[in-house]
Amino acid sequence: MTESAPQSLPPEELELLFGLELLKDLPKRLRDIVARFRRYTPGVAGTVFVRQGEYTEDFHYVLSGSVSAYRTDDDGRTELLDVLAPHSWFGEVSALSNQPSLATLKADVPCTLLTLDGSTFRILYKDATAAKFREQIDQRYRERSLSTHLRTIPIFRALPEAELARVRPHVRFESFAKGKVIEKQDAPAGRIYMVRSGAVSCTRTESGGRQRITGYFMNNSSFGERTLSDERATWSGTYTTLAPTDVLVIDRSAFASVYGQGSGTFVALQRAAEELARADQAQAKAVGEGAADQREEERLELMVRRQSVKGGEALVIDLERCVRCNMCVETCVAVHEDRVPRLSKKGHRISAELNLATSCYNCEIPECMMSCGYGAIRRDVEGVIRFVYDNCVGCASCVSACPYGVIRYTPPPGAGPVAPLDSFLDAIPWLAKLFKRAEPAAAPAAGGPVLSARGEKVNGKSIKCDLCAGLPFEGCVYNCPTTAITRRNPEQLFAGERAVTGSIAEVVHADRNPGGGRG
Amino acid sequence: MNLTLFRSWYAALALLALAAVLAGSALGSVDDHRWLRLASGLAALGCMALALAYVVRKYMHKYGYSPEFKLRVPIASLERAERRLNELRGQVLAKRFANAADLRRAVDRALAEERVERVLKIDVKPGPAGGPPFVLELNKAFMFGRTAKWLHLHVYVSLAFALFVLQHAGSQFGADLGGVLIALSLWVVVTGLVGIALWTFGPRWLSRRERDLSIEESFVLHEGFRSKLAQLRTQLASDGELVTLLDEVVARGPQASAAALQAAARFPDERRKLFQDACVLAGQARRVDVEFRALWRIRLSFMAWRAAHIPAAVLLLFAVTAHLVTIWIY
Repeated sequence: MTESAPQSLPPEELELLFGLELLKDLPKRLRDIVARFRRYTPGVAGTVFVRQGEYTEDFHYVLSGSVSAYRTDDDGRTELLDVLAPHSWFGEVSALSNQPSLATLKADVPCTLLTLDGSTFRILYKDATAAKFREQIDQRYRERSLSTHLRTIPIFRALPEAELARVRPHVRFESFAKGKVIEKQDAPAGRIYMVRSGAVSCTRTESGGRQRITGYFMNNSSFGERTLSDERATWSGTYTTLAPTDVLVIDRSAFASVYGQGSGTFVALQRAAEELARADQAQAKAVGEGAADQREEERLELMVRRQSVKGGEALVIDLERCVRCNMCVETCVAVHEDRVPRLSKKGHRISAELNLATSCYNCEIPECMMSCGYGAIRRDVEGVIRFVYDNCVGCASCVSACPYGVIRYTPPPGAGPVAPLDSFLDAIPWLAKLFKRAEPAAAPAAGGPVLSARGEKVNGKSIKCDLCAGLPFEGCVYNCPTTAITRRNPEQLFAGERAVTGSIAEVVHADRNPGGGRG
Repeated sequence: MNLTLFRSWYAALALLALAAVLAGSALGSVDDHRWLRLASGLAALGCMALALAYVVRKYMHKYGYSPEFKLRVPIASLERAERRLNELRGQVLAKRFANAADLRRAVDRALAEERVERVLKIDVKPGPAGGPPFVLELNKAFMFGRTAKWLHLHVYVSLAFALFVLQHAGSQFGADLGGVLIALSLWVVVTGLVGIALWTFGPRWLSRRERDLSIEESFVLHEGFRSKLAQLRTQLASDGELVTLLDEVVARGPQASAAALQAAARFPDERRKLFQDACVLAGQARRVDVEFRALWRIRLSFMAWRAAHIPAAVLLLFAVTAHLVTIWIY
């Protein structure tokens, strides 16, 4: 797949781009952004543009040809969801939610797509002057993607398509700022929520006044289904957003009016909700048992709050093994061409002997990526947050956005001093080929500013742990002489203390199981 | 406590060396059997080379000269491989693989075709109950072994080295170069044993002491307070008496503060306030200083050990080279 580089556009291309129904009402400022950052993605029959379950944030508009959307369920059955003809689009859900794709998108015939990266798409979608653009996106989402999205909520999985279609018009889209309380504990629960993007925590205040996180909702997970089976149900905790969050909301009254109280569909939904409630009770009981070791739970909660489990594994330093030789940081310097370490040993001490190092957590909700307006931060198919240094202009918005302070700002690249061994190796080319260190990024041409791949002036660049991308080792872990620094997941981390706690692990990983824990 | 050094298969090497030395001694003395002297000498040399390999590997990696850095693959290849692995995961879900061996072959082919087999290691494991039949776990290849493994090798082959050296020397402890070699070898091995003890207990001493501040944080604060105090001292320099009072507060701590503040009361408001700030800063600096010194003492023990171990090891290397040259010549 090749993609064209941005350039000043010929009039016929401008006409083509802004003649499109979706883009034609954009104001000039936003048109300039589209013209600068648009790409064209060609494909032949069979080209897979997006694969189900992979992280992607590109928005694609079909200019020619056709693309089919397939979804494979847990049993391995593949279903054709839709055929996208010219002037259709896909990728808007992933671009907004930063979540893995819900379907596989494959070219049926040779086709050409207009592609906007996630940050450009979000600028258009959230701009108040582009209301028509947003309206069209939301309208199409409601018509074509909403059913697929709703099917990720467990109670809707078995509902026939026709029945699901009846409730679609009653789904509301709502957005909340970070730290906003959506629902309060013990207030009447009359709605079902599904988290489209962002994250919500459920915190329960217990009789002693102690607060505990009992659930963590993101990645299309839902809460509030209990309201269907129990009209007088109340919220089991206070639901608070942990990041800017978009949700889908369906009122209980909508179900009653659409299906009718006592109808077959309504009763089926109630049964599904009751089943979920039973599963939740079992989980709550297990969590209660797990609470016996309060300290351990607090540590897990800390890790949940810090989202350190979201990238899969946290970087942990065992202080009872660490001889403070600094080899981890020095290796980090060695593996990066700019000679700036990404690792800082400063972190959170989660117990007397364990330190959670300040290293990129590859968050499920990457606030750095959402804040970047230059397409310099993206997520690979495995969910690793990668910096595209060629696009970075050093605006440092990601540095401010990162909740954990793991992103650092460095001045523009320049030639560093030549190490003595390097100058010696220069004299012996065959030896240099084997041993010479990689050269630091080239210094800017004298007098001229450094430009990014997109043509903006570069004031510096942001850096963070890249898991030693492309190398056969993760420097800090590989080179620790006492194996004090390791990547661990929470279950392994506490497995030695007692057999954890399917329960707590479930709470920690609720986000990985859409609909895994509910209020 | 760091017991990692004691949990190593390389300990078997030291045991094998011990068995070899005992077997050699049972056959006779090196003074009587030239082949035994030669064999033990070569074994000691081999052990020394292996022990040195750890040092070379560690420093080459630390400074970025290791050939392992040349194994880097482009991120685009890695991502293509990750996509192909995802495809395979989909095929596993669709039950297209009858057994793990078929899946393993498909994984190996994908990695080889994308040329990332040298950086990625994929484990094919049975899936969880109710889940897919197999799961693919993606890890880094770690192909030359972690530094920790090399350190284990270094420790145990050094012990073996000591045994072979003692056997190799036989009764010739008193020879000029031989005596130096043996003395150096024993010094290096004994300091190495001290190092093992330090690496075992040192982390615990440090982590117990680092409750409030890590050694790095205490160092930064210590230096920061020192420079701020020096700045304030310069600002107070025009009033010699205030500088003397401040020096006394810095030297004697809180006992001197109350009297010094009283004595400073007759100075103009601005100067007095500056002096008060300096006294507060001196108090904070003193508290950090106590932490820093305690941590630094532990750190110094590591530095002292290195100073005792590493130069002697370098000298030993030169002495061994001289020994080999003299054997060659004479």
